[in-house]
Amino acid sequence: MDEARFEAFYRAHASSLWSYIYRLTGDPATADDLLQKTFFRFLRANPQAANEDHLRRYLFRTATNLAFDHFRETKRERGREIVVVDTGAHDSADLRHDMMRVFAELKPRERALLWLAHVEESNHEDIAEALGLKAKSIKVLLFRARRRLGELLKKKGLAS
Amino acid sequence: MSADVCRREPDVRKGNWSDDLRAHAQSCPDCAAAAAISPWMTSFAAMPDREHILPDPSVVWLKAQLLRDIATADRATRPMTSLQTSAYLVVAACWAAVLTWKWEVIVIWLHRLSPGQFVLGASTDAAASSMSMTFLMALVVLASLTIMLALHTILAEE
Repeated sequence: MDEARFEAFYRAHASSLWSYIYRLTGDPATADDLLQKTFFRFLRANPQAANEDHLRRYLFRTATNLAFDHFRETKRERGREIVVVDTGAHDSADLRHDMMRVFAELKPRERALLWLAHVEESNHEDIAEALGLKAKSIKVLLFRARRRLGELLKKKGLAS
Repeated sequence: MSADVCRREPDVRKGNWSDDLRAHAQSCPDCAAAAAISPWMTSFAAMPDREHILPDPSVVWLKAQLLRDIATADRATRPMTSLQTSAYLVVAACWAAVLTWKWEVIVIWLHRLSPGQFVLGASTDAAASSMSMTFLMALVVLASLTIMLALHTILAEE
């Protein structure tokens, strides 16, 4: 991949990838760091595929692996222990912080599943590839993740 | 629960509600679960979370090239590093062997070098005779090898 193609690819996908990593980790600095590492790995692998979707899937899979490695390294993998960093001015930041805290109560894999399914609108095969799981298991795991988030939202009075 | 994905789930996620879809969501557990969280997920995804700018792609590109060059250099120098480590181990083993072989002679020889012995002018013939030419040569060769190895390491690093 040459520099021009990389720049175009980066501009098209870096923002959504950053949002994904940020929602997984809850920390903008970590998201910045993991975003760069993801693209370093991407360039080191020098993927030759012409299909943009394939490259995008590769990117999300790498980011997911790096995020999960990060959880293991920082020993936060026990589920709900991500530290949500408050980053901005208040009012809208308060709401954001509250939402991040609710999301942080889910397990890392549940966060990844929900984000990929609902925001990235990935199909089950793509989600399975990103998370290193079997496509057949995604339906059940996604159902459980949705139910858990639904219960959390009800408990906090954020859903009917 | 079957492994098939409900084909109406995307409409539920996007909130494209119709009476028909509402009726379906009440009977489909997947769609009901998706419907319960979709509005919240949509708001969560729409949160403006990027006050600071993403790293510039040219910077990421340059850093990636730099990391690649470092990795290439590491790969290229790996055999040399292994060779150097082996050489250090061999030299250390030789020193250990020589010192073990002639330890008694070395102790006597070192004792002769003490100031007291100099004052007394004592000579230890036994020690002198034990310092064979072979041993002296071995010491000289080992010392030279050690110095060369050290110089090589320093120069290679520079």
